[in-house]
Amino acid sequence: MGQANYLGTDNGEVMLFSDTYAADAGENIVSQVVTARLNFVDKYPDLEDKFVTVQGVKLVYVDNGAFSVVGSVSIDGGENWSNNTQTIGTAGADGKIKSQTFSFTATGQYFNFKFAYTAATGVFHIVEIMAMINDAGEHMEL
Amino acid sequence: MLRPVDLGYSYALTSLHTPKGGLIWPTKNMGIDRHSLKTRPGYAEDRDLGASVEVLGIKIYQLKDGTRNTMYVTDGDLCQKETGGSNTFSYKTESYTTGTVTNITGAVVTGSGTAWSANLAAGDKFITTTDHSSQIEPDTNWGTILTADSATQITLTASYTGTTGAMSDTYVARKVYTNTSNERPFMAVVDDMLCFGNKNINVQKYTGTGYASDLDSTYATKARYGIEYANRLILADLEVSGTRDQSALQWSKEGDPENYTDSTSGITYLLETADYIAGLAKLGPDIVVYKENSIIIGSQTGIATDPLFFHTTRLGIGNWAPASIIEGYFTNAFLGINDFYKIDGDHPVSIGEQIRDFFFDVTTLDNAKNTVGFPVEERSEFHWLATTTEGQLDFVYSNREKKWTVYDLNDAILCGGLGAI
Repeated sequence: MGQANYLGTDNGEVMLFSDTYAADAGENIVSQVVTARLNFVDKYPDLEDKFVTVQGVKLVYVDNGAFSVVGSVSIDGGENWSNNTQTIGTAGADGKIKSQTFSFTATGQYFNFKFAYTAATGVFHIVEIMAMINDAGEHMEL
Repeated sequence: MLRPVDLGYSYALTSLHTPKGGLIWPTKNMGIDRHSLKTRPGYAEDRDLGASVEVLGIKIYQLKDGTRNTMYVTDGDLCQKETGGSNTFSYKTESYTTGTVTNITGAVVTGSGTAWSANLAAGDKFITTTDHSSQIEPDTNWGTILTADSATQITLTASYTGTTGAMSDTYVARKVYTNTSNERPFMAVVDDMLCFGNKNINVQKYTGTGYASDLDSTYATKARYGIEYANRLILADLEVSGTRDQSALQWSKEGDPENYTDSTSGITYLLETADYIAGLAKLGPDIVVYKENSIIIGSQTGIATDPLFFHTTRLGIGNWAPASIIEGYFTNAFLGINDFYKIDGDHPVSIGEQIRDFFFDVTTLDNAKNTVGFPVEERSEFHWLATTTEGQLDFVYSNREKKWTVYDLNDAILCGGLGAI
């Protein structure tokens, strides 16, 4: 005897909530990750008080199909984003862990990264995000 | 290399120079799965109970003989999921069927032996048996009663859409419930009886056949909270002798949720703290009575005439949102006035460090009070739905990963629950 999870709406609908569905009653799901503001000093203490140039971000993901993913970087706390849209994965959806680099050139002290997938099909599955950075030198307080 | 994605939400206010690398809003709709993030489950319509109907409770109603039904409580009705063929659901709301309909002309219904004025009210629903597809609801022929004019006449809000003219037909009049906005009804199964209610109505019983009816219109009235515990129906915040008492906790006879006069039933008043009862839950072998600023834990005594013993009171942390209490994973979880908690042993412990700042940044205290919680056991998740400045959000705590994430569901969800399949 089985059981399943249901949701009740304000418009009389009883919805079956399940991994079987990749949409909300046919509507797209916006799958999105946004990192907190990063300056990398937890990993690289030498970057304290330095500017950094991000040259790209490698997205490590599970191949669940060919998805159009928007990768973005912001150096102003999310006010403005530089976007790079790429197709990741393959139509075969082999389930293997793969990676793809989203190229940006952004110099600053603090960075937010964002990846977004909007669709009514497919499961966007992120394993890791790796930023490629260069030390852009110390900043001088004026 | 960054590995922010296995951290879930992190709203701790760290030094700008020592970022934790967690995820922040608008991260959404990414479930936490084995130290990775993947698109959350979606949903598909299973039943449509009608436009503008608020679905407020979903529960499996399982009888001792193994019969299982999925029940829904809406803002006006008790419904039972029906399967097979084109069946959808049936109404099990308390209904009135005495007498016969003799004529319908436009919106005016005439009957014989009906005693309508004493038994029906404006807002109740009407349909003749001839027109009624009782397992394929919502039947479009249901009319809404405008007035119960006399013992033998009612007037609908619009012309009846089914068979009209002279007739001799039986009928069903659904005595729809009223529910206070943002409150949730309780549903509990005791001794094969589905008991449910809210603060506006007498506690209702449904036995699996026919329609729901009053459980006990003298002693089980207008209870805001109710659960099954120790094979009894426990009611709290109810009317006692016609007056609401928000500190009252009443229990039925064991195995008989209709009996409140037996020597083994009883009532107590939890007055040790000034705040009111804000929910009930089971915790292993214990019962937990939540107040806004305290938690009271009781156990069974084994003494028939004094069956409950409230032995532990925890002050300072309580349940701010009555519908936020979740029973699951051998614990309770709930929303306090400034944090999310679960019960560890007999103590509430914070689980909200990584989300509470964001939650209370985007949720007013008034909206937080209306937070609705439910578990999704197969995913080891606690879900809390809240109205925020970003729209309705589903704050999700992963018990496996001990991390938070946020879902942004496309529809306005009012409840979650288990149904039979």
